[in-house]
Amino acid sequence: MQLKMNPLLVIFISSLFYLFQFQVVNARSLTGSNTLVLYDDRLIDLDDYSKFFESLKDRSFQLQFQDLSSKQSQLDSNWIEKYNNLIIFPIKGKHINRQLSVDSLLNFYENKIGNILTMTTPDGVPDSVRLFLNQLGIYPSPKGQALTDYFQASSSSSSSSNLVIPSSNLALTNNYIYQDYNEQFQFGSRVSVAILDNRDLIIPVLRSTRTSFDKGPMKTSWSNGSQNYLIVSFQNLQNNRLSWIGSIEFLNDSNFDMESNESLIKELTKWTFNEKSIVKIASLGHAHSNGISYDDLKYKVNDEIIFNLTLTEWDDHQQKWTPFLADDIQLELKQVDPYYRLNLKKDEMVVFNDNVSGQLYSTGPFKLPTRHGVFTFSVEYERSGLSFFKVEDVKSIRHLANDEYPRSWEITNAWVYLTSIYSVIGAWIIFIITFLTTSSSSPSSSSVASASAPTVVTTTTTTKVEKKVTKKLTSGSKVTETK
Amino acid sequence: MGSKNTTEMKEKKESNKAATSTASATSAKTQYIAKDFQEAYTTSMKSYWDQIASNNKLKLIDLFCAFLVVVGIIQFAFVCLIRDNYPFNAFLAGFIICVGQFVLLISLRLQLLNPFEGIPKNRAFGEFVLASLILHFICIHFIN
Repeated sequence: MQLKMNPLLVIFISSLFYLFQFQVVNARSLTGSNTLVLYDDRLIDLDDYSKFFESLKDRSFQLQFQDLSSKQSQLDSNWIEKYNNLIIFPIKGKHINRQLSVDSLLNFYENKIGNILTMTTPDGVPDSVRLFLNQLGIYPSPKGQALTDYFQASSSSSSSSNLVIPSSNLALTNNYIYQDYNEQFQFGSRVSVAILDNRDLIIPVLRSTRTSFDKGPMKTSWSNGSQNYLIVSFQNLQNNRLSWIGSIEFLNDSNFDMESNESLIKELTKWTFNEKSIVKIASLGHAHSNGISYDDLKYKVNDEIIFNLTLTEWDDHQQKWTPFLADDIQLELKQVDPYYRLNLKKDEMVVFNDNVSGQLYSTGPFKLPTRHGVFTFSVEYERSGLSFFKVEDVKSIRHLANDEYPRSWEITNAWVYLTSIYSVIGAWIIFIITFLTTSSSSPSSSSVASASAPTVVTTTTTTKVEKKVTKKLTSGSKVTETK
Repeated sequence: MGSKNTTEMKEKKESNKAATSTASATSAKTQYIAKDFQEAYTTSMKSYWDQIASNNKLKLIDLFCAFLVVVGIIQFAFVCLIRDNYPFNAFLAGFIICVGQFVLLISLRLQLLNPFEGIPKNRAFGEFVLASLILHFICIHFIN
């Protein structure tokens, strides 16, 4: 334990801490609470939605109302800079398209910290809002098309045509937006639907019933069945969130009293205005597995290192940062392609202060690849409904210096080659000694030569001549033998 | 030469006899080739043994050459056996010293048998020693 703690502590000291904005006490939304509410006097009476606005005000939102029913009412020109959140109720008329253009909506949503909650009904589908939603892959039904379900109309006798959607129609695949699943939702009579593109950033929340269809001035139904959605959310890569609801009666006071509606609206607005499901990186660090930091000693090929990451999640009930727990976070060590993709394991809980505590994730010691160059340590975690985070740390991994390779005698395989080299050299030395000491002609052959042909040998002693002589002699003997 | 003539005559006679059946002709031909090869082999071996019998230095050189071949084969067999050439520089150094030494020995042997013009045998031997020392130096450094 002592050994394990030591490198971790060092990493904490050397790690770069991410700064938080702790304006937590006043505002509960993490990205700001200035909210602009756009509505049309002709379509809604704000008093009918007092409970909805009350619940927002309770959560410290500063609401600014703007009626866009007439051409005279001008939208503040720098609303994009001023507000963090935008609530758009259905608005009739065409003048809104100039005041609240698609471009300004996109600019607000893509480039600023801007969350949007928007509703459309068969009576009010502003073109700019519809086109803006289309860009995200959400296609609300055209003006006049209202959702109808004859099967339900017959069963519910109390209200004339109050559409009731059971919670089994919730299309959510995780709990990041909403988690109660045993209720019904009241949607009222004038409901519009949306069909969706096949995009990962879209989060379908609530789908329509199987027996419903879109009825209106169009000759055939615009869309039908459970491919229609009543509530859709969207989160872009800047973590700005958007929710679309196909009904305003869903929010009004009479339906807000229904516990199910209230809880879904509350959770949906909490999610949309960045009050929950937000994960941040509290600290990030990596170092040699023995605790020495990168700055003190640069990484080289095959070094053993540890990568650590601390994650916190905003808990909207406790109003503080709590450890974020997950099993599927991965570190990518990549040059052009990932060389390693390592699962980060939960290590221990880290308490930074009263308000912030995080979960430490660690790769454990791992060996760098046998490849030098500039590598990127990156963690990217994108889960539908949860705020995305991505960190990258670019570090270089150097190759071995020429004196850092193992010497030949340290490699057992090389012993074979070493012994052969030294045996050749040894044999060579012996060869040189014996070569110098031996005479060129062997005693036996020279004696034979002298005995057989003494007259020739006396004059020439070179081996060449000797050989010639012996050759002659042998060939002569052969000839005699054959004869 | 005389013996060769006689054998050729014999072969011709045999081939004439065998001309009646093709099967026996082909067998006779292969027999002829084998015999010819056998003869060439024995004569060359004989001349080789005669060559070294008279000269101890040549014997010594050939012995050393044989040793180098054996060492080289052992190293190559080792690489094949473990199916890994990991310290490849070490293998190269070990193999190259065998090949290089072999080449140097053969050139020394050539010069001992028929010296080049203007280069006495002692100088040839001196050059051999110098070249060998350089080879050893390089190989030891290459294996690191």
